[in-house]
Amino acid sequence: MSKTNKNRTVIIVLLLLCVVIAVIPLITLGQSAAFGGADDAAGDLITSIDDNYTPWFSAPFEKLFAGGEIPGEIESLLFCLQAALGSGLFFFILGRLTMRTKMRKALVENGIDIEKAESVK
Amino acid sequence: MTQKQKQLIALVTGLCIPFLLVSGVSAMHIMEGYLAPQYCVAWGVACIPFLVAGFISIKKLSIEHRKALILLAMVGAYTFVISALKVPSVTGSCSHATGTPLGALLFGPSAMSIIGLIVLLFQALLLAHGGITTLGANTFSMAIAGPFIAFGVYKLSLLLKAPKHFAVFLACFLGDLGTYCITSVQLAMAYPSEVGGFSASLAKFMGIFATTQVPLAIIEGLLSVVIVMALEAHAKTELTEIGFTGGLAK
Repeated sequence: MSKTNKNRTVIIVLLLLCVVIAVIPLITLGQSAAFGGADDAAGDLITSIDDNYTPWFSAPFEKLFAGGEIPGEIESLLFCLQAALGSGLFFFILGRLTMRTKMRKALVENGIDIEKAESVK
Repeated sequence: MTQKQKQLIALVTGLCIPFLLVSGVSAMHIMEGYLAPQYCVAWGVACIPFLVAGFISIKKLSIEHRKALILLAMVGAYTFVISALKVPSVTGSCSHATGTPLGALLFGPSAMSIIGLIVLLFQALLLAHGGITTLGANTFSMAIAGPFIAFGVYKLSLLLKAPKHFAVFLACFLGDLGTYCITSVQLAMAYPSEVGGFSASLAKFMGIFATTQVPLAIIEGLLSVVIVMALEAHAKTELTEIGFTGGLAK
């Protein structure tokens, strides 16, 4: 197996492992757990330590909405947007980089000295 | 770093320390409004020297290693994505990885303080995830402590002759976990339990944050290795440029 192929296998295995780790809790605890945020759980704990505690500040953005909380659907929209923007940029750059490797290889195969070509530019 | 820049960081640090003493510093991100004002200010002030160092380090990068900026953009985008993805965990609640350790390995820990701050600011302003008042505390745990832990573990692992990819995994795993341990410490300091005080609270918060985080920290470590492998295959030029070429780089 060539080095590139071996790397590819390793990457696929690692990514699958990530998915498995994320899915196991869903399968094993699916019935019994609410899967709320760990930060909400901490909020509850704070209230249990100091039962008079009320958060003293809330995000200005949240005040726009009824009840002072961003509606669930809007919140997931914003989280999606964040993930989409991030992965868009990430994979755009990765795409350019992988293409660059390909082009360089093609140039070298055609006998063009890349270092020389780049220094001319 | 020039002499002048070193002096600047020392000066800022010096100015910040009295502030911390006076204020009496006795996440997922910590939620908006859940940290008393003096802690918000104290953690914010504690971040300032690191942010100054981070600013200088990114400026230096943009002058001396222009070519590598594309990787910085990539690492920033990665942090953006990964901190938006809440993943279920064994405790029955959800949390997310931080993404900052990887950048720390590539660009040094202080550069990530700026990147992390930008991500946290966006989340606090638009997503009500974390918060403006808790921005300082969250920046300290996710954008400063995590990256520094990761960087230290990485260098140490290489010194001990660990294979590079394993060092990347371990560093990002511990950097991620470290972030949430710091979050627990921050909350325990702010909310010492009536019975048992700081340590009792710490144990409880660790139970929530650190336990939830273990599987996510493993994911963070694995993903970081995957990205390093991809970069080694396609961005060798840039990695060489910033001295991330394996073995004991600077």
